[in-house]
Amino acid sequence: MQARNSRISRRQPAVRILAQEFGESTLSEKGPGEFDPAFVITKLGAKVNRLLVAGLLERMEPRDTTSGTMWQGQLRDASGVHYFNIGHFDNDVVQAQAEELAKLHETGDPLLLLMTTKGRCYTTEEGSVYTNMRPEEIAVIDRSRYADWLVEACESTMKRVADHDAAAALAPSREAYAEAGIAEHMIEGLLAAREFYGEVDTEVHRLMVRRALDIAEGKRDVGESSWGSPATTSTLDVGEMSSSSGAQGNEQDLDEVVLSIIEQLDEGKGVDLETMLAACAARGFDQRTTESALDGLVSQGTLVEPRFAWFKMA
Amino acid sequence: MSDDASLEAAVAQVMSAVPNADEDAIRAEFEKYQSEFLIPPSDAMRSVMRRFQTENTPATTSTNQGAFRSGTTPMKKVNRLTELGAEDKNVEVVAEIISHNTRMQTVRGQEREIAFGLLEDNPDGEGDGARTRWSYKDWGGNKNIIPGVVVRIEGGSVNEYNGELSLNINQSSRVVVLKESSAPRVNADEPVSLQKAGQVEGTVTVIGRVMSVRNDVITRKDGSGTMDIVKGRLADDSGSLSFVSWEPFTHEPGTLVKVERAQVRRFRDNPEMNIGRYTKVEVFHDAGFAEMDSLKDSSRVDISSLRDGAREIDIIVEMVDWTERVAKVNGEDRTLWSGELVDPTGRCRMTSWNELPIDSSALPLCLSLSRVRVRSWQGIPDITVDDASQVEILDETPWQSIDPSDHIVEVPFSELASGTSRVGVKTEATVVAVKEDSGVIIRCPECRRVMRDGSCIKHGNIEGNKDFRIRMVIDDGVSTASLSLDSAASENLIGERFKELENDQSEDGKSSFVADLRNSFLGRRLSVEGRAIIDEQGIMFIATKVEVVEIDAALAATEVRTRWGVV
Repeated sequence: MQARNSRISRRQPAVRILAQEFGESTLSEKGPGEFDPAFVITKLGAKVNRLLVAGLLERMEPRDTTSGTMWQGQLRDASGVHYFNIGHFDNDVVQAQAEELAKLHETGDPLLLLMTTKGRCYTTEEGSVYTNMRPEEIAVIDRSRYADWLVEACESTMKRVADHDAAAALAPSREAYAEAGIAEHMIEGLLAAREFYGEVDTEVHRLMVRRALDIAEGKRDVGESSWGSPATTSTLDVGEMSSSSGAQGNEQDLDEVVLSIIEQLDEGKGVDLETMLAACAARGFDQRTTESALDGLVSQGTLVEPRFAWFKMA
Repeated sequence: MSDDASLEAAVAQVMSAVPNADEDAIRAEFEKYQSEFLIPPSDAMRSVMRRFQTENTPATTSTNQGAFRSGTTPMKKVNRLTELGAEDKNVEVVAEIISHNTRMQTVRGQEREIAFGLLEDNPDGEGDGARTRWSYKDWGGNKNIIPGVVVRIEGGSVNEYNGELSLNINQSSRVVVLKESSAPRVNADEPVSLQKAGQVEGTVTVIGRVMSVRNDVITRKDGSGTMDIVKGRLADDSGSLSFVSWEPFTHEPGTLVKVERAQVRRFRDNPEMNIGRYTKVEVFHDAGFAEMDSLKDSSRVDISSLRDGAREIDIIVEMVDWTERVAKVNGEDRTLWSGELVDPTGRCRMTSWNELPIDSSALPLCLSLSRVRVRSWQGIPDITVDDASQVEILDETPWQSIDPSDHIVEVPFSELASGTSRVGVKTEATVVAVKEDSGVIIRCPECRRVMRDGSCIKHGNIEGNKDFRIRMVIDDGVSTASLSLDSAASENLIGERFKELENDQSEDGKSSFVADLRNSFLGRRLSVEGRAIIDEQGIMFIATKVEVVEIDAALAATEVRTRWGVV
């Protein structure tokens, strides 16, 4: 009833989403009006205009264009990578932040960011479709807020998985979906996704959620290792900065962290480097330290590398 | 050239299907698609074919409605209805259908269903956002014209009657739906529940028991006298719906009636059923239908469901304040009473222009109010009581007495978003934006507006008062609210940082303040307390109290695993 005669378009909500789900989307939709919002529709049927994403800043590089500097960045979360651009078309605050973040990134310290962004799909000349984001708000966060975000993103991913699986068993119609109790805001996206993507296996999303939750639960699983005080409680202190506390963990601690991550995440074929880096970053270890720990464990014989950049317990 | 070749091939194909069509007109049509819409002949084939087939079938060529579309009148494409004149034929315009009604009419000896209604141009609200409303008639029986859809009408014509312009959608016109309607669709002849009818915009058939009727007189705006109307309310198991009858309505309260083809329209936020000339009202027999007493209970509303513009409602409330004062109305002093009401779902105001049998020293009192109406002011519902007979003082309050100083109702964010304006509520959502205009502001001492460069938009150059606020956007992933924290709430959220900003009012100081806010709060979950104003633009939450919700991520993660079975 509220949407009736929505002459003034309302602000689009920020969808909590993992990089994997957003990144594999190839369907976009735009209303006929000049100011109608554009959406990326994911395989799980989320209609995404705005996103709330978080992760490790993996790349932040300037590129000179005719209209000034354009920053190209990558943000890695527990499931994959988001790509984003910041350019002259963005507001001054975000542009200034981009420059500052690039400097911080240069130093090699891990930088966890949380961003509200606008998402879009674009097609290359060869016809491949990729997703991309433009940040509207950026905050440097600590790992506890990253953990909070991961859990929220997992919760909403699982809601979408459930809706998607329920919808797949129904006749593809608005009425059937509404009758089965699928939330009103999901119906359009689910119908469009079903028509465009066909059958989708949601197992990959469950896997990503499992990974993300492992990271969010980090402290409990790596027990009495890092971060000073022993894990007498599983509460993550809000306000504790990962970069200041986590980086102090010595190599011995990191080894344990690495091993516990592999134990948890390995589903038979090992764990890939990117996942290891993200998981360790979430626990406050930077890329270089993690890589050297992995190398060390492999040469000790504790770990094996069955194929390039995949790690397994020996 | 290949372009010409494909064009000629396309023209030939249409000619072979419709031999009596005008070849040049077909060619012109294809060229228009190509040049104006970048649609090559092969893609435009279907549209062009359909158009010439409709135009050249004997049924339509015999009516003069289609005759002017022989292709010789070029299509006039306009963005606004105001660009059209009485002589315009074969026009193209995009419009939103506001209402759609049908009636049978005898046209040249044949019974035909004619549809008519209102439409508005500029559905996207471009430019100044103003929309022009015209009435229309659809002679083509287009099934895709339903209230709420945005359509492109190709080949309409302008009709002038008594100096008023309207749009004819002809049998040969093409109607393309650009945006589906968000209103639920119902079959106008099948009875629906009153709850469902209340969500519709358009024609409905309902069965309901008459709960109240009241004769009323309205004065015509054009000064041509008065008109007798009847206002009332119907109820069924699903809820109740107020109605206005523009025709004599003689059914007593308690009567079960079937109302066929009434029009549901909205007055402010509130649906209302209009009984007019084409509506049929008859007594209905159903021994199993709920009796008046049980319906009275179920049709009673609570404060959280009050909507601006609602009429004829029954409600039980606890009155916690009732004050008499004098106000100037049209230069005359008049006494009015106003006060505050609470119930377990929230709080609201009440006003009366007549003295009521309420002893303000005996408060709190529990009142049963009947057939009252609701106006909202800045999102706060205000119940208007017109006379003493609408108020009954109850001996007992059906709930534990509520302390008004501490009556805050917790409302899930999603419920707030789908409801109506509320006062005294508490909700939770996540910060997704921190607005740059957070910080110290100067307010006009007269009107409290924010001043720019030492001047108020209404009161000019004036010495302002310093104030402080934080503005953010919070959302739950489905709906969003703009959040405004007053100075007390802001200080309560950021403490010491508040004082630092007081002392550093430089540009650097301000922007680093906002940057700090963003780094501290973006992605954080806030619990906010205050009032929510909900209108077409969404939710505006004005918080007087706010705190960060501490989340135990590990515990929350475990909950997610258990809830969804990911272990």
